[in-house]
Amino acid sequence: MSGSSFMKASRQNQRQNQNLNQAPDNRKKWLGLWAGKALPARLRRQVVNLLLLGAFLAGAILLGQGLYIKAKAGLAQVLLQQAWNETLHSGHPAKAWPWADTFPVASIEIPAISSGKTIVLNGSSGEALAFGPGHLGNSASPGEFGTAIFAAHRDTHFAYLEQVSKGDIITVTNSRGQRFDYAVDQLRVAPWDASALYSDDYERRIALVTCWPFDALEPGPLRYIVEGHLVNEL
Amino acid sequence: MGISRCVFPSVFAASGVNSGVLSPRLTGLLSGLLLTAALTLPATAVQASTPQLPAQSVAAAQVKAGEATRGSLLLQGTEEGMMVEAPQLATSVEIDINGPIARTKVTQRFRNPTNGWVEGKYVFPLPEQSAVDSLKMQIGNRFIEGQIKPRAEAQKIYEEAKREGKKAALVEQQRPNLFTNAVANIGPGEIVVVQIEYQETIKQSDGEFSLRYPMVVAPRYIPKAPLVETVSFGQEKNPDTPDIPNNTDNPNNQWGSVNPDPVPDAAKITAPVLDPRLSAPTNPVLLNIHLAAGFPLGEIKSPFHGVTIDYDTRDTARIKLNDAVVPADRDFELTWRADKGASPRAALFTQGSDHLAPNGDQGDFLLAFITPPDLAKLSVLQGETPVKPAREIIFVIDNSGSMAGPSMVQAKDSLLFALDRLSPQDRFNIIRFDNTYSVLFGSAVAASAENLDQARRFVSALQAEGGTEMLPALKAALQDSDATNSDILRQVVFLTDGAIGNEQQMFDTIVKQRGRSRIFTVGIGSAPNSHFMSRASEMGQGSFTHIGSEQQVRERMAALFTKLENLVMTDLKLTWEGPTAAARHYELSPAVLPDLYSGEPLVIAARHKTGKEDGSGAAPEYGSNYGPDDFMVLSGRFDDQPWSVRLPLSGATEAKGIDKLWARRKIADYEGQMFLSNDPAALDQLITRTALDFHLISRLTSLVAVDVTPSRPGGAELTSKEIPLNLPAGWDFDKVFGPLDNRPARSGETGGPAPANDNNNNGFENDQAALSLIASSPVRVTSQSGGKKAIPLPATATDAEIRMLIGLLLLISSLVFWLLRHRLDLLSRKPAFSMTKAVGIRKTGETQTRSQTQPRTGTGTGTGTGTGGPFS
Repeated sequence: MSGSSFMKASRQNQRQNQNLNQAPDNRKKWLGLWAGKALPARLRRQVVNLLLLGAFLAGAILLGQGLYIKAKAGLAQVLLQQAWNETLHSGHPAKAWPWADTFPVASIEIPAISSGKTIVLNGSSGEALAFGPGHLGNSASPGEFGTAIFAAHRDTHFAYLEQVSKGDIITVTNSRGQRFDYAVDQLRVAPWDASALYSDDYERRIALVTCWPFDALEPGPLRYIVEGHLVNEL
Repeated sequence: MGISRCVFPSVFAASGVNSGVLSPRLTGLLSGLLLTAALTLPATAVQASTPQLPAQSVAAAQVKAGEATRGSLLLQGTEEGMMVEAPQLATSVEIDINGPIARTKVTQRFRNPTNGWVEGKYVFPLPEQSAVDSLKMQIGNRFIEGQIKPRAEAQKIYEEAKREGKKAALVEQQRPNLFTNAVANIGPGEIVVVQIEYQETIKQSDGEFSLRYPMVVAPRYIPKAPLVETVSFGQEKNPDTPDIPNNTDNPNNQWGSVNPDPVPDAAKITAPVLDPRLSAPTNPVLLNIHLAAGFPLGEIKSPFHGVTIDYDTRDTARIKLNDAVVPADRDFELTWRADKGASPRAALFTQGSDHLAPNGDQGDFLLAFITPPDLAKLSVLQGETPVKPAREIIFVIDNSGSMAGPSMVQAKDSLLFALDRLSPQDRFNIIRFDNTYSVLFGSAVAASAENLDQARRFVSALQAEGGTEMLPALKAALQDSDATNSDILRQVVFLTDGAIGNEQQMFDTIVKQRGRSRIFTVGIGSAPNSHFMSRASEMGQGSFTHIGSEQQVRERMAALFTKLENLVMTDLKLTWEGPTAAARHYELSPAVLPDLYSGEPLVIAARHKTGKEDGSGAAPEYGSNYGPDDFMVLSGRFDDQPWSVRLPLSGATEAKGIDKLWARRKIADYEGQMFLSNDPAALDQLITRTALDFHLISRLTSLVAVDVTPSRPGGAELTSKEIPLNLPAGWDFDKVFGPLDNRPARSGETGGPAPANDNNNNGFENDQAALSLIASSPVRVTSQSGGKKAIPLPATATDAEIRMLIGLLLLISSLVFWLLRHRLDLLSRKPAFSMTKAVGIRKTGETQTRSQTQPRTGTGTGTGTGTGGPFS
């Protein structure tokens, strides 16, 4: 169903309206039968038409927005890949598009579930998360002592976290090209404000976080946390 | 989609039934409702995504740990209520305040309540500028002194000792104000005592002296996987470890029944074992302060803890906490003032010839505290009314996308607050930027009511979106039409989260184009790029203010404005006068003296190097052999008047630890240069060298102490040396151990019905079970409080799916309804073509209205007729 067919239909409706108006009271009677008697029939029709049109447009817009979010998340990664290669090459942060608010800082890969390379952006603002996983600014850097925390949406970039199991290796490459392998040692769920994750730690750890439960539609206070410790450094 | 399939057909089936009168109203109503729902749902979804819900019933462990607001790490077992307690800790703190210098001894006692060998690890905060220089470890009756080593080397030494089963302690700096202490190989029920010492300078502001001890020790014991290794080692190589009976046949064996003491001298050093379920874990802290202010004391206050104050003399006092032991859940703060009129304006300390740095350099050190005169009072003395200086303030506000949400609200509120504080003679302008920027007024305008109104409207209308291109905005802010006029204070106030990547460019621009402007940065949001902002303000000779929440806006902005409004002492210079002093070369920290704001003291550390490279050929001269004509002169400009103060060097007080303070400041200076330097490795080297020379912990150096066990004499080559058996001062065992002796539940001895504790069984296998539980703790729960907070996690759910779902529902419902109505329209038009048919239909319609109680059958007929119609 497309918008234009609807428009055509509503024009048809209007034509019918005109027909009806020209037509004698006989037809008005029929109309009155199904349209109720409280309001003048024409007004009622227009109101209903408007409502229908509104509902249709709102639906189309919402659907479009949803698809846009998904498309943005997928497309951005392609652009980011280029920026990331440039970053690795030059050693300087490169923006994926000129007006970008953030820049790639690392890439994450989980070979066990063949996740492919996901480019991580600096910061965890909503803007950054729309395009890729974000590296929380107040957490440790990859390879540093403490926990490096990466967050992403459960329905886009981190949807695959569901498949991660203990012992899987998470490979993180930072902007200097250094590679860090972390072994997953913990999968857990915690409220967003009691993550028990700290930037300073005696170990070098990683945490990938996303919203939980995975199949919920509403945002909630719970986060799914995949934690690992450093096992290898290249 | 399942919903759409099952709900909507029935809705429209129903409306099909009421084809007569009800259906349009009903369906209209329905679509109206849907429309409202569609419009409001995304909004509510967004609201729900802003975090506000408290944690509830997520994991029992977390709730429990939350109750235990302080103390050790709890590890949850497989069942609820089965907690394994990690090593415990008690802390004793002795603070010795001598004039403006404080030396603190922190004694931490680790105790292992489990039956296995563990490694205790502990993160603790210390004041930002503290110089940590000493680590001592006590095991049994032996004392081991820590050595300063480059960080990696220290780590290696520690790991090695850990593997070899030796007791070892390692203190590392994680952040300038955050340290970790790790103690390896604490035997079952054993206690290890570790003492750290550090030096700091007292804070002073508006005549009030203050000292803060971060009590929120927020211990984090992080048991690690190698623990199990340690256990097996303990079994193999340590003959002292008794064979614990393996009562696997009775896994529910209670604590008390069989408990051979694992450590021979446990009676002397072990506190009774507590049932972790009976007593909430505590992290008790003892605190004693000896205050020698150097001036007659006025009021002494401790705002957060009850204290007992004993005055020894007019100048000295001893301060004790009222409760002998307090839980470490609030920072301790002590403030004191001088008796009326006795407030000191300057102090000068020296540490002389006897100091010999480990690398052979000799030198003497000076530390000067100078409080400028109360600036407002000074102007009154000079017969002028205190006038606020003419000012030009340029506000720069970040409205980029990263500011979206609370940050933007805070930034706007801060700016609106600032606008209210402007006085009519001030001039101002506002620049906003995202990936573009715009300037409100062509040039700075007077803060007239009209201009302010316009500014307020401008600010209120700001929306957070777009990228962050700060550089053009900065350049615009620094554009100064009247750059040479130093009568007017030009202040640039930046409100941003600093989420930028081109910091270097920003710094360059600030250095090159700053002119007479001073740059004040206001960091907005929970995690602003404080590094960038504090550096930027430092280079811009301003200050950095952090606003983390809505509640802080008023207070912090007011404090900033006090700074902005008050006269500053500028162009500060330090010179040396007199035959000895003028001939010497001093290394100063800070190297460039900052501007002074009202009520802030200036602290200068100076080192006079008398090493070989001094090159004067004269006999090296040490110490305080200054003549009466030697002066340290601090001069500056205040309200366009020259001002200076002369400190006689011969009057300096001998004090200890000045060298450490100097070195600590020097290291901070180097760290500060990091950002501007092209050669960070060289700076790293300077830091490492300074830290090693002065025995200080830094980012690159750590203190490590390793026990020399009799069983492994070869280990003596390792870096530790044993210190004599006499107790170091402040190492008071009664204080450290006493409080815990009152605790009950020495169930091992009573043998009575000890509280059931399935987890802490005596059998070795169970120990191992407990240990492996620790090693692979299912939930790393830490009890935290106050200062150290878990990192909040961002919202990571998009509303894509809910949008798509609602969108689809709306589309389908509107189409279905439209189709339905279209058909009805056709029906209602039919009479024009065929009367008889229409009558027939009307009859059906009438039957339906009459038989509304059976809607389902009605649907059948209605639809049947509809589809059957040839024109549909």
